[in-house]
Amino acid sequence: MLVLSLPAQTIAMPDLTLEQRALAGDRAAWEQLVAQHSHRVVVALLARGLRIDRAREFAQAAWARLFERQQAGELSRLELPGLAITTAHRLALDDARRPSHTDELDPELPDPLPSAEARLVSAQELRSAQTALSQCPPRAQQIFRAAYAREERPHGELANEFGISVQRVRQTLTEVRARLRAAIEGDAHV
Amino acid sequence: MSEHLSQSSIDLFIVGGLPAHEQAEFDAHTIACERCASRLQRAAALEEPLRIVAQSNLRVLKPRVFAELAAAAAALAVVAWGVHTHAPKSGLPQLEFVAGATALDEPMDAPHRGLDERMEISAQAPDERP
Repeated sequence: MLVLSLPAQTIAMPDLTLEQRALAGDRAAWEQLVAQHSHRVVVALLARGLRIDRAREFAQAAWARLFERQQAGELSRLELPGLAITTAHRLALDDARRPSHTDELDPELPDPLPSAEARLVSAQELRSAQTALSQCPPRAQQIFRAAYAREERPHGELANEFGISVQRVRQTLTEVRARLRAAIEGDAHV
Repeated sequence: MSEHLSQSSIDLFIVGGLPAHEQAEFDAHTIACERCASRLQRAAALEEPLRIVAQSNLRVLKPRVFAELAAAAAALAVVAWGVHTHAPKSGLPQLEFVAGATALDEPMDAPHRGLDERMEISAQAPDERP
């Protein structure tokens, strides 16, 4: 969790989004945004080959950097989690380039920041994943699509919407992921 | 915790559902175990592609159908959803986290959804070579 150095400040701006409130300096809004998006930033860093402790470290540093930029009046927009992910990537890249840290890099691990091409999923793999998703039970498809919608929603909210427990929501997500992963990896091994 | 993490534990972590009391042990294991660290990284790398799958109602076009659509779209703007044309070694359109509308072979600046960056995309007919 991000620890901000300024005193707590909540600004009464009921009609504004969390992002707008954060841009206006509302610390409580920042705390909510961190809670909402922090895990995804960590996962994005893991996807780039970082170790979990380093991913958490850079994710937290990224949030702190964004908050500092807002306080300095350097942020005119706040598109999350993209901006936090980009900031964390840059911090990790800067750190990896520092000569004093070169010897900490494990040559056996993948490039911590590979190119976009290295992260491409082929059209065939995507087709297979879509086919696998279409073969999941309709309810599972709905839950998966809702959980991975553009506007992220807490699992508790999805549980209420679908009338199931949070645990069941997460179980469904892991089951669907397993099917889609199998479909993609099956293609990769062809 | 057993010798290696279960895949369900890794997936549960990725979806944000690992119980808080298991988190420290999970972290410690992935730091100490290269194999599980690698499995976790691979699972994480699937997250954005799966997000695209979840968000797409589109049927992914087969290369020939895509070519026909792209040709038909030459005169009209076509939504180039997720088409990324950098070095498609296989000749098939490659998919990335970009979206935009453009005409065939007409480059345009489009948002890169995963990275908060913009990049150039264009709709191109795939290489017809087998």
